[in-house]
Amino acid sequence: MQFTTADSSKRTDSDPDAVLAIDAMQLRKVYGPTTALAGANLQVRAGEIHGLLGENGAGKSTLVRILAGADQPDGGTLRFFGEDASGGPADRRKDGLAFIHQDLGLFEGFSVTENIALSCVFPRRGGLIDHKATVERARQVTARIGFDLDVTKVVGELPLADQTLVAVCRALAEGARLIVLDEPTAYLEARQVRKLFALLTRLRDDGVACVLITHRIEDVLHICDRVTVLRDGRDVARREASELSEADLIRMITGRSDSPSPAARSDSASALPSRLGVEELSGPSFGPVSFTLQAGEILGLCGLEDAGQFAVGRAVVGDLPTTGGQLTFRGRPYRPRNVRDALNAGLGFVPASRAADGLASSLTVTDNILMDAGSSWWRPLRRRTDDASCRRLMDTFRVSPAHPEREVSTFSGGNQQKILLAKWLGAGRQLVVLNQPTAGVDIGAKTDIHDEIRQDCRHNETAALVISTDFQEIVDLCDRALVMRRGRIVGELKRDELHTDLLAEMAYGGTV
Amino acid sequence: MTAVARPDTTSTPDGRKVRRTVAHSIASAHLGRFGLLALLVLVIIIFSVLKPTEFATWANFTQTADQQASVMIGGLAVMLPLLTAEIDLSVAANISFANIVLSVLTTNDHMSVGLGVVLAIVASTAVGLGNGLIVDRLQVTSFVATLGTGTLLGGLGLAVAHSMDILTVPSSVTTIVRTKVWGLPLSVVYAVVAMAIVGMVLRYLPVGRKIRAVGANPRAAVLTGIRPSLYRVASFTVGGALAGIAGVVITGQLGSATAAGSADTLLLPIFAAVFLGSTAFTPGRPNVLGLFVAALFLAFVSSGLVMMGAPAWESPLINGAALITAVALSSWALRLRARRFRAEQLKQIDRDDQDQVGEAAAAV
Repeated sequence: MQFTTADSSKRTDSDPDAVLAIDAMQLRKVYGPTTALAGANLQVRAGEIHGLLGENGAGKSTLVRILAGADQPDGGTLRFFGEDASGGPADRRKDGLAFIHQDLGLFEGFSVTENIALSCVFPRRGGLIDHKATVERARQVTARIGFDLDVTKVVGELPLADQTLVAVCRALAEGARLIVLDEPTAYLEARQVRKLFALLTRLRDDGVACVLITHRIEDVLHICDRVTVLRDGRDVARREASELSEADLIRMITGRSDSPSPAARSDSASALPSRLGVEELSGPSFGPVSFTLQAGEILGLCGLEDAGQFAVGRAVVGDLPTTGGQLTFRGRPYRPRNVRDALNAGLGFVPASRAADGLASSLTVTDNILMDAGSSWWRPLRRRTDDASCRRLMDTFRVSPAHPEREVSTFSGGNQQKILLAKWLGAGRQLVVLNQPTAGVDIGAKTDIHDEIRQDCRHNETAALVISTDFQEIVDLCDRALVMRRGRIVGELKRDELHTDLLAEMAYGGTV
Repeated sequence: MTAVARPDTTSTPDGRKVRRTVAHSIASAHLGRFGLLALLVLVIIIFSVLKPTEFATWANFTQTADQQASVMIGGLAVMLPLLTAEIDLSVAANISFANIVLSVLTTNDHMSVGLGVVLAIVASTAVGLGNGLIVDRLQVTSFVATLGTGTLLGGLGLAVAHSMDILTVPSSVTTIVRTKVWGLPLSVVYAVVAMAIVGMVLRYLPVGRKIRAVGANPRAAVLTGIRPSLYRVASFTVGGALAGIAGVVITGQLGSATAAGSADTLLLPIFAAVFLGSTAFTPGRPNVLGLFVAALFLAFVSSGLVMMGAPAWESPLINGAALITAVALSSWALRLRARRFRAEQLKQIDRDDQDQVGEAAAAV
């Protein structure tokens, strides 16, 4: 009888005799201010296909880097087939551990045979390469997983699925006992996926351990024996795939319940004055688009990465030239020539990338928040009051530690994002354009940021244009949402119609 | 089962190691801030003990300060563009150019000192403006642009002087630099005043914050309504004016002008002082106080060693070594800091874990 606690899911291995192919316990890794792994466990048995899932930023890629020996963990233990891991990628290969990344690392101009031979040794006869034996060995390896292929073909001319399989064969030729495949199906069509999976199953039955890193849930349900889900740098679940449904997996990956409880929103905004009017606005990569935004309203503008929503946001603040259409701000015509004009008019702009566009991370928090300290050249800075007001803002936004004199680079990603938002939401703007306001921050910080945006909009009648590719965020935060596809607005959803499925369907081009 | 963690990072069960690393880093952070100042004091004490009659004299101190006045002013000229992340390699040539212009105007053309000084500074300011426009408008990297203008100025100086050295400038020119106030030559007074003004502006006026922002992240500056071009060009222009002032000081000190450039050898001492200075007080960022201390430190080490019998060629050795050491120290400090935050981060995870264990226990 085992003693079970609340986190018993972290240790469920029933068979103590079986030697685990991978036994990673409490792995930790921090990169600068961000925590990539905060104590992640992964146990993979020999002869199983193990799915590793998680959202972007959950720590999958860091875990793979550590498994592959490309990065050393800051804490925790890692064993392969019962032996402590040591050394770098080359040592892993010697120990029979193969890592197949999206970039397969094949020599595209060489034949399958040569690719397989290059990573081992060319068979020789009398000191010279024995070509016949080389081809023969390549045939043996492909035959082992039932891969029907002309091994004299040049790799670059093969379909992508076959290239992936060549990489698998190469690993087998090196004597791999464990193969980790990072997103192998990302660019494959359904038929190719089936072929790849059929052969992977053969491999498993051969006793090879496979780890499949993926964000395609159907892959996992289709082929994996067991699944580990990572979230915020920890493993939150390890389950038999057969007992899981698609909904279970989504819930485990996102950490959210089925029906997100939409937080209280501002009351009927119809009586409030208009803040922004966009009429037939068009630019190089979008348009024409038209919409209006009222005081106190949070309007979502979403779509896939390249739908044009970010360009619309930049055009609104004068960061991108427009080719037609009109803007009105607070009922008056408004034509910003540059960001400066827009800011002077009372807008604020939070860029999507805080590192590249948002913050000067080598400067202090005060220097960042009060970067443009008034337009006066000669009014001396009041350093003490500046610091005090920044500390208040940091408290409001729950930035910890609330030290305005510390450099921004010393804060974690979530805190940096809060600082960036504090800079604009705290500045008493009439309209803020927020690009991906919670990109790359953890759940707790996300909630804080959403609360602050709502607070600002409700109390100060700030209007917020939230531009995002994260549909969940739009649902959680916005009063109304516009969906863009290929530069145009393809749909509008009111508060009570907002749902991620619906948004996704419109963004991908489904009919509503 | 052994931990895979590398020995230099911190592993969870061994809390002691975490503490030592953090304490060590905090100590080194303070050392970084005030280390240079401590070194300066140390150098003064050591040489004063070793050579009490030569080193520890008011004459030696004023002479050293006088000698470094042009380095300090030239350092300010370099620091302004450097804060916007641009480098000005033409600074020494610009100082020489002002030296030649002032000497030619007052000696050959018999112009009054006042007008000569103004015109020399205007000439250098124009050079700075040119640098700024080349960098900002023509999008030439400042390294290449100022290397070019520096060489160009050398030729221009020869042309202005008709390739003739000016051996003695009128005494009115030397008076405005060599006259002593409260025992200090005016050159030192100019340097201190210039440093005080630039230091105050950078610290207490919005301009300073904006210049720093442009240097740290120009795109973020643009999206905050700051015009990087303006501050970039302005930094070079004011830098040019400061180089002109340094040129006037040099002219008064030397009392002469070499057509081939009297101040060209100042380039390295200036950069050594600026970079060494940026390791102190606000480590990683050029600052006026650091420049002041670094300039004195380099000069005292140099003059002290000469008194101890070192040959005259030790000075360039010291400046060159200081430049490299300073930059190496800066990047080392950055790595150290990154490590400190890593340790903090790991400790935070531990605290979170303990909280969770506590909650789990409470739940059971």
